[in-house]
Amino acid sequence: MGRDMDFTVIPGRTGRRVIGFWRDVLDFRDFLRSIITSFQSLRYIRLRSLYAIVVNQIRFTGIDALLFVILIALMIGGTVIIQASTNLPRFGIEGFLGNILVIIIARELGPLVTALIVISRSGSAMVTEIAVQKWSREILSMEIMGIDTRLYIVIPRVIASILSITSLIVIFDTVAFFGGYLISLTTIYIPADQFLQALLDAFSFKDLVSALIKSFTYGTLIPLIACYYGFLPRSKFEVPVYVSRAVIRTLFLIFVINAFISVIFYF
Amino acid sequence: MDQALVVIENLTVDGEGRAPLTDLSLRVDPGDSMVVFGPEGAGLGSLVAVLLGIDNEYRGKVYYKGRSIKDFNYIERHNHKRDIGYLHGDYGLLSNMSVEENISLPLEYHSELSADEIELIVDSLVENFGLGRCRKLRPIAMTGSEIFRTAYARAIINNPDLLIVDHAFIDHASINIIPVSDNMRRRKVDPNKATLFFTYQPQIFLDFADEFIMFYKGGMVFRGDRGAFLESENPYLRQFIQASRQGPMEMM
Repeated sequence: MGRDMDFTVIPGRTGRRVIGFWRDVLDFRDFLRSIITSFQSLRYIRLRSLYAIVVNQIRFTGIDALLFVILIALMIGGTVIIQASTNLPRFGIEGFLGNILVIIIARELGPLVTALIVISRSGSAMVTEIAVQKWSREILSMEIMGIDTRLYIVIPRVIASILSITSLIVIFDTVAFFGGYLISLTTIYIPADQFLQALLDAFSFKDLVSALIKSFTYGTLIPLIACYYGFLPRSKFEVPVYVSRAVIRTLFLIFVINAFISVIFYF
Repeated sequence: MDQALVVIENLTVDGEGRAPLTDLSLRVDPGDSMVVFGPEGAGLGSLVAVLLGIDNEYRGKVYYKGRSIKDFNYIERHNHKRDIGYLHGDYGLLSNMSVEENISLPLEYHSELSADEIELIVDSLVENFGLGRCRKLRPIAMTGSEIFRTAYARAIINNPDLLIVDHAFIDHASINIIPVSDNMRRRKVDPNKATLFFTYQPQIFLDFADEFIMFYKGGMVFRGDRGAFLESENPYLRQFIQASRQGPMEMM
């Protein structure tokens, strides 16, 4: 045609959604650029001012979520172990108990469920907190103090989120394996040494790397998306809209990335 | 050598999503205390945004301490904001921080002072501004005047050469903000400090300012000292002070 395609002529609701999604992607790219630009300020600010935020965020995202993560891990671990140990013998593959547990819990459910908990609990809270701070002109107030808000607000949350999610995944897997084992003893007996050996045999270096990559990726993306949507509302009426949008889109993205990393590592 | 803090030459701001300013020239020297006032849409907010370096979309020249604000790089823009004390009407205290955390934030973020040195400065401000009762409290648990005094203490913690008070200082019983009033009077007689008050109620600042400037629709329509402010028959000024429908200004 000899000219750029005019996307505004795409008809109907689907077209508008595609255009809206693409604009969001471009805006998010600009947001990421502004964060990268803000790294210039690292040379001038005192890191102690970020320390308190990191500690607070770790407390909220990591420590406060611990009990919930442990309970979920116990239930999932117990369920998977009971199902595996009662059904695998039917197919004559009870020797693969350890592999099944590592595949289901360590590789997939541990990182995914932990991410879901952090998104629904901390991600939504981050969007709301930042949006309210913006609406009440607290962010403007910080900017006028010469504070680089991209750096001051976003970076401590990313650091805290990476540390929290990594720790929570390790705790989730550990509790799911050993707490789940204890729960499973109420319905089926598996000798402890046999269970432990099966786990150790099934674990590989690749599993460790995959879990670390997932921890880092989720720990980075969840706060980044939350902060991005937190900065968007222009009035308090838009806050719930962007909180909902942030949670749904982060959930979707995490599922996609989880599948992608699993394909890269294990396919 | 030019010692001016702020020099504005032929500043013009287009009115796209903001109040316009037209060919404005103004100079602020150390020791000046000015009240800038006018009705809504006069351009007060636009001028504040330009002075703080928030809005760089303008024509003309704006210098701070001899340097063009427009030419600041990324870091200099942040440092420029740090150098100016700014108090706005919403106060903008961080709701998840206590009084002492709010006051110390600019120093925690910018300064090379040790934690003990910062604490000493904060102690002094907390005492001077009568904030001992609430120093560990967050804004939600504070009275209106405590919030105001905290925001003021935070605005001056870097001992700024230029303080901008933007639609603040109203709706408080005078007796509750005596420490702030005292500090304002000290700034007024300090030959090294300048203060700009942006307000819709210029009468409140008679004790703290020497010069009064009125804007209307982006232009300066009155400028004079305290005596002129009180006695001038300038029709814009009279209409504004008397809140009258009669005069050259149209109701927005």
